[in-house]
Amino acid sequence: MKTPLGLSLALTLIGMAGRPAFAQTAAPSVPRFEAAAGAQFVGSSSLGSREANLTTPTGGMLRFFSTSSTLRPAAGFEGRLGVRVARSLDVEAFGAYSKPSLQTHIANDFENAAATDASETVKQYVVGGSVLWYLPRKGEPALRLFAIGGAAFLRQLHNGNTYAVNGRQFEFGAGVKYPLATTRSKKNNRVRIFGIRADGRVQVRVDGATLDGSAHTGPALSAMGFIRF
Amino acid sequence: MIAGRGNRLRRTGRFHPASISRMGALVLSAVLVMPPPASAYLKFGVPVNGRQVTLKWPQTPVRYFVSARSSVSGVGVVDFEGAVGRAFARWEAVPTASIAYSYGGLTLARPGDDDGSSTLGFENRPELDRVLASTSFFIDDTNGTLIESDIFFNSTFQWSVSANGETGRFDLESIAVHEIGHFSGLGHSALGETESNQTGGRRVLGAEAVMFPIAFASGSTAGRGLKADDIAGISDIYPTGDFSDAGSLSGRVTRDGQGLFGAHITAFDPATGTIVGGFTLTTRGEFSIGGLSPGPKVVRVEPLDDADIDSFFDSSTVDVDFRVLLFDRLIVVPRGGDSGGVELPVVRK
Repeated sequence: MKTPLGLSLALTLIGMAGRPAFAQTAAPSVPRFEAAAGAQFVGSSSLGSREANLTTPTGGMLRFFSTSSTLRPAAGFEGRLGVRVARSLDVEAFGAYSKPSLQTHIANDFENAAATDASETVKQYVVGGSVLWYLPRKGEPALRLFAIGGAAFLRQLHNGNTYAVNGRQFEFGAGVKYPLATTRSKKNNRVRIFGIRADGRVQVRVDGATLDGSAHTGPALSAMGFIRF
Repeated sequence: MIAGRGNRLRRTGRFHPASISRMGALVLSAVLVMPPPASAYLKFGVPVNGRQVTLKWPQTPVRYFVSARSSVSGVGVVDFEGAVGRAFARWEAVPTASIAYSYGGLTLARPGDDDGSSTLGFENRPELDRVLASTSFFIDDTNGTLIESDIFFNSTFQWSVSANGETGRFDLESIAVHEIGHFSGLGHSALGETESNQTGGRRVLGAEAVMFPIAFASGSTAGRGLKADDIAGISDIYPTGDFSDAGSLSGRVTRDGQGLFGAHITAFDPATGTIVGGFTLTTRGEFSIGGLSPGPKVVRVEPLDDADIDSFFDSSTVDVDFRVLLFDRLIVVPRGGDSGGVELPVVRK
């Protein structure tokens, strides 16, 4: 059958234009966004040591007593919002809250007072961003391993919010995600993945959040449920 | 007043006793007059119309003169002027305090003369065999402000103005720094540790305030520099705007539920390493330590046993029968505010 040239071109153009639309309906969309929330465990972290000294007649130091401060382990909450920016790379914004105890061990008193631990409770808020990189994998294993690193602003509120200290926190570590269920919307063919995630990180705190101004490290673990959409 | 004999020196809390009242002025000549409870370290207080008023200069700069007779072996008048000038400058350099001084030059007057001029100089007082130096005051008894303050350094002792100190001689600048603290309205601090020696005196092992009542041994220049306790004290009396961030720690020291008078409390900042001290100043055991940097503090309570009690208080009222306490809570001092009352329970020895 002979087709007029004009009609043939028109059909070709229509066909080309229609191909992507057909592809979208044929294959499910790959989820780009992820929201996660769960529990966090922040391990013990040294905040530094400091001696209370008296000045001697020669200008030296006489130890009055010594102190060593620690942010004690605490459980808290953590939430993360991520977006896929490359095939194996997510960027995340995160926030966390915990209520650890600030404990100072006091010892070596000049007049031999019994050593003691003095403490108070601190409310700790962390807001920051991180980059999450999925390790290469073979095939389609359910577990996805990732490495993670980030930086955050840290705010500690002492004694009923009467005193606030700001600092910075850097963290790096690794984790794993495990999908539990996948759903697909009949309406728009979108896929949602539900799963669990576990992270282990090393946190490095600097600035005001440490008592001696030096950087101090501590571990953190988190277990969260996530939805990828 | 700073007292001593040989290497066994002590500063007493007593003021120059020989001053005479003039024209409605009150001469402060007693043991420390207790200030209101809301004070740290010890500030001098005077009774005015039935209430205690913190002793202070009404305006600055405070003009001072040097006695032209201020010359002893090893220290000429010019040396004296230089040493006390450097001592005044140390107090004046505190950024959170507004106190300032101006040098009026040499005078023929002597320290202690009731002439309306604040004079510093040497006096030979061999009968005061433990007194290195002394500060006296003339006070307006209508408002509690200072009119005149004089300082004498006892020429019975050997003095030095050497930059690094001289063995067997007392550092004039160090002693002047202490006396100028009194001159400005500060009392004694108890931030120090001593040990008794064979002659009944005390030897300072360490001190963390130039206002500690016992001087370092001769030859030492370690008493020239102000410490956190001194800075908090002078800033509390003459605060600048920068001092508004400072907070206070207050509460009670109790034993068996009863308040203790004269207990010494120290607040240590584990972030800065600074120590500021204070006392319970009422029979209810109340205290308030001002001029503290904001943040958590380690609190320690001890009896007043490292200097003669009358360096601070009337000894008959001070209770020293309790053990040193390292409090098991960190007390947070808010920025520009007070910690809120905290009870520090101590136990008998």
